[in-house]
Amino acid sequence: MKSSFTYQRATTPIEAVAMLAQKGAGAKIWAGGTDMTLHWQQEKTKPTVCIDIRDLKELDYIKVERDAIRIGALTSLATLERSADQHHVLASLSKITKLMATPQTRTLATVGGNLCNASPAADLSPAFVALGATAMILGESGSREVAMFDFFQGVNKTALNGAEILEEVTIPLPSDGEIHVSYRRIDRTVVDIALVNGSAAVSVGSDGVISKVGVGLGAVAPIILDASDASAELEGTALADVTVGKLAAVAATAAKHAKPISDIRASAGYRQDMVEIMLRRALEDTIKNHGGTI
Amino acid sequence: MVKHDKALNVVGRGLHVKDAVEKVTGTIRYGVDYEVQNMVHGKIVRCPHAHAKIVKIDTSKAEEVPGYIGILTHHDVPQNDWEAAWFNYRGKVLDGIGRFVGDDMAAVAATTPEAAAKAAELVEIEYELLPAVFDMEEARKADAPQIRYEGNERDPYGVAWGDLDAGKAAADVTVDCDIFYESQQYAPLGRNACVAEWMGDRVNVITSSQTPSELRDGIHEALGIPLSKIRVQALPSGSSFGQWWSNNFMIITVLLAKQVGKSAKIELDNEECMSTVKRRHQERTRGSMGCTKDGELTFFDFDHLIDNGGYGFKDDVGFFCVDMWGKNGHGDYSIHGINTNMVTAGCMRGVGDCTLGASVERCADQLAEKVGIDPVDFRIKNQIVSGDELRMQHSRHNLKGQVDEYINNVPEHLRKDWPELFKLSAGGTRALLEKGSEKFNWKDRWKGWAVPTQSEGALRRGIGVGTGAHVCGVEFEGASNSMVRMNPDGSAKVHCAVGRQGAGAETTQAMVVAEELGLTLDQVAIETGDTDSCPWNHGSLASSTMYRTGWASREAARDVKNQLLAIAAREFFDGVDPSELDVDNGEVVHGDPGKHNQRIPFTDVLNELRSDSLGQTSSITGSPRVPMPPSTTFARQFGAQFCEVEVDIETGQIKLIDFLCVQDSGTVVNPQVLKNQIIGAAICGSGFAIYEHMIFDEETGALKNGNLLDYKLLRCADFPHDAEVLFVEDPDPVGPFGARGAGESPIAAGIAAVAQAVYNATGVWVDMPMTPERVVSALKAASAN
Amino acid sequence: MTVLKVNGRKVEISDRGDRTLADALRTDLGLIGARVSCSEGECGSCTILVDGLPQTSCLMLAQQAEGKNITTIEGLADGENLHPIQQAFIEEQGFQCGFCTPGFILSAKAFLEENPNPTADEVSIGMSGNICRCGAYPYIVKAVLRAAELMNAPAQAAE
Repeated sequence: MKSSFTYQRATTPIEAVAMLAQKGAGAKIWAGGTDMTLHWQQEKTKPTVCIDIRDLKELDYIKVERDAIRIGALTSLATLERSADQHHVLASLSKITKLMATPQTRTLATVGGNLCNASPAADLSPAFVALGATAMILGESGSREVAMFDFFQGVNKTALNGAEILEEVTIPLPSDGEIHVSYRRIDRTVVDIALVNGSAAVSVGSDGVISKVGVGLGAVAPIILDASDASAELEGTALADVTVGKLAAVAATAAKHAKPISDIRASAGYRQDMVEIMLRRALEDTIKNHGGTI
Repeated sequence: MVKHDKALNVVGRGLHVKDAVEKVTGTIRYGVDYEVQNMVHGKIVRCPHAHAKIVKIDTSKAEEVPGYIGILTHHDVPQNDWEAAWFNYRGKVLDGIGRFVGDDMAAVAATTPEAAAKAAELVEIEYELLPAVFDMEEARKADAPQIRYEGNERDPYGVAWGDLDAGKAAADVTVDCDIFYESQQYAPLGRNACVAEWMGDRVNVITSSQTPSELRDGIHEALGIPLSKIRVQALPSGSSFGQWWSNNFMIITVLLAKQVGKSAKIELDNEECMSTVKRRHQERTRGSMGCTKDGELTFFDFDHLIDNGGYGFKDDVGFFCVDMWGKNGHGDYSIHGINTNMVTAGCMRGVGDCTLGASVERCADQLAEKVGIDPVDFRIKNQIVSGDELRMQHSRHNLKGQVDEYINNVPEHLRKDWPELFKLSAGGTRALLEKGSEKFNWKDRWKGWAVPTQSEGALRRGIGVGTGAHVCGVEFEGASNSMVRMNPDGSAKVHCAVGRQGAGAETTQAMVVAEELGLTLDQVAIETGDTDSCPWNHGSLASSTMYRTGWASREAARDVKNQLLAIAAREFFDGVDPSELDVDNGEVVHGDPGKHNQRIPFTDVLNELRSDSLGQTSSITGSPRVPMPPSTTFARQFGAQFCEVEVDIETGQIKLIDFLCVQDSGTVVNPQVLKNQIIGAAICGSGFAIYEHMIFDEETGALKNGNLLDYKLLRCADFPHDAEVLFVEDPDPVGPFGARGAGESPIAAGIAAVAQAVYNATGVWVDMPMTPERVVSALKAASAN
Repeated sequence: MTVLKVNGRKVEISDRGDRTLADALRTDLGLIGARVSCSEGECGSCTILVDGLPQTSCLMLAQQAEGKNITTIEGLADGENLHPIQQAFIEEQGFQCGFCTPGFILSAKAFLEENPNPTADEVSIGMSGNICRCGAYPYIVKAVLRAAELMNAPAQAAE
């Protein structure tokens, strides 16, 4: 049976936190609320209080700074989708966003809400993990920062404690050179949830040498996987020396992290095979975005 | 039967559909939108088990829900079997046994939908669990759990002709197949609801249905009350494809309203629509086919299983592929309908021809490849043209008997204008294939069997062609009737009980009548849903609406016209023979204006009727005056479709790149409506070919993807927006103004075209649906060999 | 009670928290043009405009709409005069059963406001947030392109 709940609007982020603390476990945050409303109707969650934070302007921003891109948690997916001209990383995130749900859902849904839903198949999350992004979390005693990989704790489970909300996603930018990120997924129709996905972020210094490679894999474990360690051998390689073979080798190593399950969308075996292909293609895209030829 | 072919004024024009404004303004009302005053809301209590018998029902907790009114259980329901059209359902409304997870067990009524849902959840039912079976072949075994008192398997249905052994001996090459088809779900957009209101011992039933008369019949059978006390008012439905005919939940609503003494409404939610009503059967074809080295088919030998689920009762599927590949002289088809503990299966658009028909297409393609013939040429060589014999006449079971009985009951003099029976009266695939391959540039694009047209990285493109056929309605479930009334102001209204599920019948039936009566479309109104004013009609099923109902509507209009002309001849044209007169633009005119140049408006003629005390009426009512020829014995519709796909051979993902549909439905009554319907069929068929399938739990038979997130429907960008439809219009000798049926052959053609294109791109045949994972598995299996 | 602004007028709905906007529009306000089918944001039948942007009203709580401008299909035509998008959907028959049509038309309205001169490919992607089970897609694309023409040349369209 669906739960009954009351509706309240928070007027500031700190008020939202206070409301959460006061109302207890039944209180749930509605950012855009698209997942929450769905899960409530499907009886996956039984809220007693809905705290609506959608219109908190303080958390609705995209800031491009010298050393970081800051995305407010209440930035709508539609806004992120339209941020492509602000920075090439945002252009890549915009491309990912276009794959998410429907235009209608993207209007209401927020970046923060998508992360807090902590779906293993989420589209933005692997890119954030690959980019080495961090989550800024607001609680009663102030803000704290958590690496994006640590933010995801399980299916629909995050590092948020009882009375905390997500404030911002911070994407660090390299002090020297450029970072590019790419994302690939297996889907069926044009609107779909990823059967498996992979994202790669590659930083290349002004000397033309790869300084850092981040890898995020989705829908192959209960959480988004950080498989960046697999790419260590790429770091220090000159962009000009990257070969398809090297990227394939990285993808193969990274894919070993995957622990996929079989469900109605795909079998474990298919996911295992595809995660490698998705990552290889994402790596290739990233190298090409850097101007590399492979 | 087309007596004097004059230029057509209404038929053939892409006129806007009658309900267009209602549809774009959101004011059209479907079943879910209908309410009556003081009604209560019902919710069905569903079976949580695959097979179980009710031991005890405890409503004490449900009764505590504020707003609870009452419950309907099997104890309150007359234990009569009722049947839906084409045996899509046979059983009691409620009998205390659940035959699949989600089966109807009881219904509660409450003051609000929320209260009803809550109360339904709190009804506690104690069950005795019964053994269950989900696999068709297991269900056939003698020791299988029995799902129905009639047994699990129906009498086999079959068609056989020629000498199978001789056909096999004559074959230079043969191919075998064993193909399993998953169930397609109607996945209706729009859900459905039913409102029932009793007035004394009469009941008024309002719901979305394609078969208003059949629904009234079903209520009559289930309740045992006279047909005259049942009024069905069928509303337009959302996409239906055969789902919303007469459904058990509608009759539950009728009984629930009676039980609680109040008007009641039951609305199904999306999951109920997908998991408890109906679906396309799971099917399995085993068989073989052979041909000579010149590509002439020598035999067909197929054994086909269809799974009816809990309440389907079909023993046959309309497999008109038999007729389409009719050049071959020896064949044997057997069909077995089998019940399982899964949701009821029934007719979905293109039943049989989307599955068995696709198996035959695949076998034909494999033969064509073996003998090195292009698929277009192979079809032209082996498929039927008008005048050829229809193989379906060689049925070994009831079809033949029923058709013979129908024919023999018609006096000889009424049969003299009939086309030759058991031979195709018009159309065929040849012209479609020729016209289509030219437009598609097939000869240039075809690179050979299993040769991609383009190859880049992991991407392979391939082209394919497929063909489909279907019947144009059937006669032996009852003659579809229509009534036309001309009013004193010269306007007309046609009353025919058909569906308004998006195929445009509310417009095209009126166009036929307008054409016959010399009126504009605006001057002809229509009632399609009310069984109190419409004569019995089979409804919109089996592609019969334009053909059989259209015939009846035209005959009814002809009857009105004849009466009108008779009055006009007597009163305005000096008593000439009425056959010298005709109608034109709302006026009666003489065939030879030199003799009689006056033009008499219909209103003047009808005014004469008004002042004529012997007429006893001020309006003219018309009905068909002759029996319709048995169209299953000669009329078929055909589709040929061409497509290009792009397959990622690493991931198995398929993209539809190009699509061309060519259709032979005789005269096209409304090209805009028909093009839309044909494209829709291609999209529904493509979806079935690459994504759509119901996933059932192996332990319980419960549907696991009863939602649109995981039941994948094609979206706008998944299908080429420049897909085109071409028509070949070979007029039918019987259908209204030469029209035939349309909606089912194109879905079969599309499925086969996509399957073949994927083969040509990848070199592997993939069982449907060709999901990314299945494509990859098939490629892996092929490379392992 | 909660006050909403729907189709330019203030209306009242109950202040219950636990109900969707789609439910409130249909049940309290009789705006049946907000069609509900999947209830999970997949089909787009219940699409409405919130401050001009498309949203599926089945995934939005009624209370979330307080203070926002809601447009439903009932608010599109000006009396008897259809909106050009509605006109174009009739001309090109961008529908069959019509159930999904209000949602498509409202999606098209928001889409064309952002992209008044789209290509067919862009329309095709833009209209993919709605499902037409009947499969009228190619005609829906034609209808949206036709609507763009009508909206860009209102004087010509009147002829």
